[in-house]
Amino acid sequence: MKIRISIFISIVFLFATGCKKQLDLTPQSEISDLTFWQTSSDFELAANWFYLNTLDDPHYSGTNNSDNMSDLAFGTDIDPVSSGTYVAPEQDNNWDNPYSAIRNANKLIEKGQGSSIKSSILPYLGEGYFFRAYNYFTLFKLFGGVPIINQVLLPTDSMVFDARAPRDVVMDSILSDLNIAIAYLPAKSDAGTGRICQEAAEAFKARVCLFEGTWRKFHASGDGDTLLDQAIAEAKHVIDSKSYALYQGKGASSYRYLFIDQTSENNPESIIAKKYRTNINVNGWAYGVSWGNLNPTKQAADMYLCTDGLPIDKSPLFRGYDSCRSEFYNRDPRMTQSLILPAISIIRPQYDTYRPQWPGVDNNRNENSGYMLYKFISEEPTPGNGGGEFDWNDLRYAEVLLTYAEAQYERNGGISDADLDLSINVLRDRVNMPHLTNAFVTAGGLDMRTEIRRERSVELAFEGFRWDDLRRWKTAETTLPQSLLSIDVVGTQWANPVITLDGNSYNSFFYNTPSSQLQNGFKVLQPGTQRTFDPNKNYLLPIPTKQVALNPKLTQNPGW
Amino acid sequence: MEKILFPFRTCRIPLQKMLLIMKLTIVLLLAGCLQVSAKAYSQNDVKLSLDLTNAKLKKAFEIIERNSHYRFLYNSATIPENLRIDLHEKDILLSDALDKIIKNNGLIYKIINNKVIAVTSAGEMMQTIHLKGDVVDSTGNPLQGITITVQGLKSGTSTDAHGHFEIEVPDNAVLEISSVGYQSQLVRVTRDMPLHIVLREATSGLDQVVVVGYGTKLKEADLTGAVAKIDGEKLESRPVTGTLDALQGLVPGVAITRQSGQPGAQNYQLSIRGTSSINGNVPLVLIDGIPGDLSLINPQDIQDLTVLKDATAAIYGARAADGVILVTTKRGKRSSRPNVAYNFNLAVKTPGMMKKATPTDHFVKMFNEANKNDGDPQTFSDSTLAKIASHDPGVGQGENWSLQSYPMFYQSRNWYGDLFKTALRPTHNVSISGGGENSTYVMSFGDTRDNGNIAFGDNASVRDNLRIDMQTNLLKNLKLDVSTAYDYLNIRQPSELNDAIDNGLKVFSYVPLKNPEGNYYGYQGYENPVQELTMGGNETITDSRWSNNVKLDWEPIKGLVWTGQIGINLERYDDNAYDATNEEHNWDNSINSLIRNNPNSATYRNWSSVYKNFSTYVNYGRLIGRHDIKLMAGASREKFTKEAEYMAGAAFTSNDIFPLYLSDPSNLRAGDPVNWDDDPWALESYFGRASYSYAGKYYLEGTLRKDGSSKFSPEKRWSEIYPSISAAWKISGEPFFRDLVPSNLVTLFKTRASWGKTGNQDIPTLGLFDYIQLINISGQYPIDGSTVSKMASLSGIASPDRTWETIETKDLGFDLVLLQSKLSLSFDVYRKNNNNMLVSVTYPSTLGASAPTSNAGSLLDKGWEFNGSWNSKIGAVRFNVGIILNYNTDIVTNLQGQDVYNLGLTQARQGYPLDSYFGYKGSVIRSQAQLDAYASKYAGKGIVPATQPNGYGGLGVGDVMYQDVDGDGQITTYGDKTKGHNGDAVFLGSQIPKLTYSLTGGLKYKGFDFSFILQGTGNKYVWRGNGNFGVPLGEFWFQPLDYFYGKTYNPTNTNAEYPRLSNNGTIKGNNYQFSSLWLENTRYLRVKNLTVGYTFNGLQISKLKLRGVRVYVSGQDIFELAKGTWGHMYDPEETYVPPITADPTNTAYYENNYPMYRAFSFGVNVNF
Repeated sequence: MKIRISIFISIVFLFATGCKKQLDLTPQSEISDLTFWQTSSDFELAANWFYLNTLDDPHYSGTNNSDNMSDLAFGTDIDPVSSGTYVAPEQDNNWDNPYSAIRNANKLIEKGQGSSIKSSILPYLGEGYFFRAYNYFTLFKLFGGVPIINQVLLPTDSMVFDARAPRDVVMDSILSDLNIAIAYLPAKSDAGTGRICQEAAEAFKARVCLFEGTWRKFHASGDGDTLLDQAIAEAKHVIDSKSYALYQGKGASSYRYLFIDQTSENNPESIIAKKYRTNINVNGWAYGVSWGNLNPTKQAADMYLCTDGLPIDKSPLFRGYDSCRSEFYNRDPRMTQSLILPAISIIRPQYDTYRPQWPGVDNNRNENSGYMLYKFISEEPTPGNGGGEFDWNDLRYAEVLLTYAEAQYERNGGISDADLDLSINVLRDRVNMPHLTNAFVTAGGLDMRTEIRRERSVELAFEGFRWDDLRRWKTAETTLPQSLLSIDVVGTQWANPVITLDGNSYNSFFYNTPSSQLQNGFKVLQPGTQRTFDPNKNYLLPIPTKQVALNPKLTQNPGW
Repeated sequence: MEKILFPFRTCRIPLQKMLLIMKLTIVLLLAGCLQVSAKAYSQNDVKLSLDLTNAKLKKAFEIIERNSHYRFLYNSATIPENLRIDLHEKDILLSDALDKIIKNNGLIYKIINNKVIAVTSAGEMMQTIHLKGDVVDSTGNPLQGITITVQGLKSGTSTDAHGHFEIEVPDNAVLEISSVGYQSQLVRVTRDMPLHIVLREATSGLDQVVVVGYGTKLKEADLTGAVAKIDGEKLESRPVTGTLDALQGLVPGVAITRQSGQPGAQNYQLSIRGTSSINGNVPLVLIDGIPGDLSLINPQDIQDLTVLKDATAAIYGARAADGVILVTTKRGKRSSRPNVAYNFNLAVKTPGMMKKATPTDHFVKMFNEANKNDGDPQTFSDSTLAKIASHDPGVGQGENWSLQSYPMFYQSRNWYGDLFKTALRPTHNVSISGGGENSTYVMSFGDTRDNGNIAFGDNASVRDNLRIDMQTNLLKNLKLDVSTAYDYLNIRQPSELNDAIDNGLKVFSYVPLKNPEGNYYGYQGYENPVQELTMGGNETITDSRWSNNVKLDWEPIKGLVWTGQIGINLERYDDNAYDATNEEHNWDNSINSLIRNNPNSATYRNWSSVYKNFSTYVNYGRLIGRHDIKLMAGASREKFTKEAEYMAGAAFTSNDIFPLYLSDPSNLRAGDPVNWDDDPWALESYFGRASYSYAGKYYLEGTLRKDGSSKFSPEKRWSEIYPSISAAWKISGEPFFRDLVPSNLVTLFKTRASWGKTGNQDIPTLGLFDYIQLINISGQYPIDGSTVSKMASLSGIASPDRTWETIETKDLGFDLVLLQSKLSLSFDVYRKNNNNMLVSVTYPSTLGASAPTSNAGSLLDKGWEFNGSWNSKIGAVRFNVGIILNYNTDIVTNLQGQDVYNLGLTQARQGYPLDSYFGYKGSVIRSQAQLDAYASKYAGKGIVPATQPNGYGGLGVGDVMYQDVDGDGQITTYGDKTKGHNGDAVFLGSQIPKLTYSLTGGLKYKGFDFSFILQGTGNKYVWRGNGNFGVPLGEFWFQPLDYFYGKTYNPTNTNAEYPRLSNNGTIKGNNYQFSSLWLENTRYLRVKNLTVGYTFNGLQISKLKLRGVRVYVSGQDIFELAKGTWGHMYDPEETYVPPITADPTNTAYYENNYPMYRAFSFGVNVNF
């Protein structure tokens, strides 16, 4: 019997051990890294990832790139960065996400450089370098010098715990990557539709060089001129390539329609764009923007020139604040294309008929500043079936022109009328504003630097440039601590309980504003006493505290 | 004396019998003929070949037994020891052989029931008794289906509906009268006289047989581990949708929660003694040995259910870390005529606790109060308030914020409440079971139509269960068990169901359903929920499973059983959803250009999977004197493969039907593998068990298990050999104990201890191929502006080093049965420790991806269980009461120092229970002095706004102040840990209750029965969010819950529970921070079930004779004492347990959850 038992037990184990290989399975849904990276289309797929996942869209991602962080706009709540109350966070996507993208870029570069088909994948390899630079620049702008990780790491690699590289080393690394990208990428005419091309990399490099060139100049931290020279050169190269032009398709309203009417591949002004299409990639920003997440302040409204080319404090054409509409008269047309004239009728998301616009009514839900944003407001009641289908222009040609003008001025302490005509006056022409010339500046008692900066702020208003600009100009310390103001209440039409415009009556949300909330008659959104800016601290954001705790070599930015 | 010979007939071999039974069964199934009885097999003589040389007579008997189906019955003393037989015959008739070896040796024999050959000496009286008798229970009610067997033989019969039985037995035989749920009785038959047998209920279940896995069965009294058993009948007569529902409150240590009242999607969560890992592991459920799903099996098919809670589960290794539930389905009974049972239950489901938005008058008053607090003008005018009070039918100028250009109405409609109605749920079950001498069969079919409580659109689930099982003895030592089950679940619901429920709260109460022309009215962006439900399209989910289970038991040698089992489960899952385009109308009846679902679209998702399980094991048991030894060894292989498809189309030419070919081809899209992966996995396992007991007093058992899993790299694939050991000492079996305590006082006193380690790889967060660096190709992006581009990225970081989690369990318990089995008590203390739990170890983000989880964490569960029951009778009334208590704590003991938590729910944080809430300690500022003291320290710092008299979101009286727990002079969530400040968000409570308990009871009097189940939990916490409805006026565009009306601070209500109302973002931001103020304790005690029934026995309805009929009424979830329900708006069981991969702080569940219901039902059970 014992023999029989052992026979049966043997049978049992024979049966079970017959197929040791049954545990060796292969994945059916994902591809192994070992078998990928064989063909050109593999590299294309890898390069594609960066477009969706790293191209910045401040209204969608909403992180640290919105003009709510500056003096030009105010959202539904006080912005801690803008008002200086920001506390070092434990975790920050602005730190984590770029490194995740850099890891993917490193992989693409590593595999591409070692590939036997390198010559046929140069465009994608170039995109790898471009997006690595793009993500380092995101980190650089916010935090300054950061650890440079240019290889695919494992948790066991000591480089994971590297210290921060100095600011100039990071900048050199970014420029080096961009130079390789420019070398590898095809010219726009040869590049795939919508893909990063040589001119796009040059335009981006101009942005980087202007940022750090002016930063070095105003923060007295090194040689800015070399960078400004490169900014001028790259911008000029883009201009001369004639690959791009300003969008003029809607006549006098082209400026407003540029953001809502054109798919980027048909828009001559678009250089780098995040794309949204129904059924492919949608987001909610057409609604979000429409709901008052970005309300213009008095500071924004006041920067628009009068139609004579003079600022409101100098121009006789300025009509003051007495009526709800008076300040909008005789102004740079970009004002009424960026801000809604009270009580005009428009169509907007979720509204199928023309309705008069009024602060606090319909989707102008956030009445706090009294100004209503018009820029980016779609005219379709249901844009993209639940999502925006308007591309976000991350880098458009107008910025290249402004970069050229500013870099020229800051490099040389002046700018020629010819260069102004090549840049700023192209923008002025689109909106029928008088040209900016050295003579006009002198005659009007103006300051050329102020006017160049004004032009940039007006043209790029609410697109997420302002906070970066204030920091690199080193003017944030004076601009940001001031009270954020909304419309003028005292002695104006807004002080009436009911306001009649265009035959309709509207409740004023401002008629009984207590005097404690007023400053020179303007309603205060946030008093200056609640806003601070420490020049030794606030020009950079803090590194997330957990990262500092995890890596002893990672030093925190000063003041935080 | 006299030999009585029965005529012999040729006996068929068992295989033919089986075929016959199968045929008969098919006839039964097809014809539905209920009165056919399968009997009268021919009894022709068998032919034998015998080759006996100088064999002892007993040896001769053995040889004949082995070659025929006959058994010998004799008294050893009567067989002469020295008698030797010589017989060499081919094809001799049995009767001739018997004559030669028995009759010719001076003995006589008699064949009884064509089965037993009783042998005796001529000197002994040899009589066959035709015995009649009846069996009743202790109250005198006749018992049907009681098995009566002759001890030592396999022959027997069972009682009819009147409790009667008749049987041929040899004189002096011993009858065993037994039935599940009753204490067996042995009766020696001495005279041909009617027997009256009273069976006592097996109150303590000590004699019940418990299946503990891989063919091993033990008496409950002999268990060494923490094992609980539930009889299927306890699950049967409750008006519930499924097994999990029915199990709630019945098993100590088993916690079942549900999240929704949605038909087919109640989302039950099952756990045994807490959870063993932060990775969300679940108990292993085996249905007849093959992994299955408790939510889909028909409770009517369950014979019994065993829960292995401690180291006894270790024998199941790889997936048993959270305990094992063994389900044994019903089998037919041998030698019984067909039993046909039909059960019907009709449940009436009424919506239970439901959210209620403020009626219009409360809303406008609260809104105006917020305006006043903010220093804003009053939004709703006094005349509007008057019109609302008088239900003015007119239509006025819009006043509500942002809606001034929309009309204002003065009605009040309960949008949310009107979305739900009472619904019916009929259930039918029919089963046919029975068996012949060598085989059994059972067929059951169940159908449940669960209609949803939603009042609009098509919402119902249908569950059909068909189960067929046949067992037969192919040879007398070879048993085949074939079962097949088809489980079908079909759910129909409006595509926008959850969205519509959500919108039911969001639409303003003053908005009418339809415009004056009778068309659905669309009011600004608020989607009309009734229109969404009726016109927005439908979704159909169908889950079909076909489970096949073939099991062969071969007993080549007495005591040695080899088992081979093949289980193959096929599953097909389809989810088809259509989003139909629909238009809303404006008040003037023009069509609103906000067209919903434009273009229309449809998604088709399906997957099919094949799961194969091959297992084999050998059991050997032997009793040597008082040493009882049982050994088992086996192995198994499992493999799972899956294929998934996901297609989406849009712009269909039809808005009614959505076949893909009608969609716009350029819109056809395939889904991502991220959502519908089809990766395989496989497991290979070896296991063994040895148990030893001595004299029914000392028990020792040990198991070993080793598994290999495809989820780990080849080097880390195989687990270590996991051991378990358990022991028990039946003190009541000791003579010294018996000397001290009489057995009628203490029937059983047993202590138990167990220890074991189990490997775990069934971890939801563990990818199937995490040990390989994978490239994820997914997503879609229009790089060129029009066509779809896919994207490839690195899929995490490969982890070649990861391996099994190891869970160590310890249990110490005792069982006590007292007062003639009237009182049973059992108590266990336990610890469960996951020592190398897979946790994320955080690296600097410069790594560029999350490091793979590593075996670096630990989690400790500990607690105790108590189970007590009292069974007795007073006069003719039998009653029982029971209590179950379970206290369990779990603590995440090691997460490698990683300390991630957030305001609100956090799934795991080192040093705290799972699913804990962290938040500020908040209280309402009730005086200027309080405000000044607080503001002077904290205003303008951290999360606290500055104080301003009015506006800019200035802090004021009536707002919330927070405790500066870390004393850093500011209120912050995390503090700056690099400076030693740990922040002010502290532990406020866990979602998981430590204490769960239930009380059960019942009584029977004659035909009447009554039973109840009360179930409850200790403190458990819930936070319903600070977004739309968890706080009043969280968003000004949504009406608050009426619960908050009159409960907010204002100068005339200074003792209010909640802070002042506001529409100011900063004020709300401050007051609606997640703090103790908004956390609710939702402990409850609920009447889970009350049932009253009456049983008619032997009912004769015209010509139809019914064996038994029971009618009953029953109520489920009918009443409760509960806290934290916000005035009966949230069911206390309604707790969202987020999946491990979900964002725990997302509280949207509390807005769009389908409400629970109460059920009242009528049922009838008929046995033919």
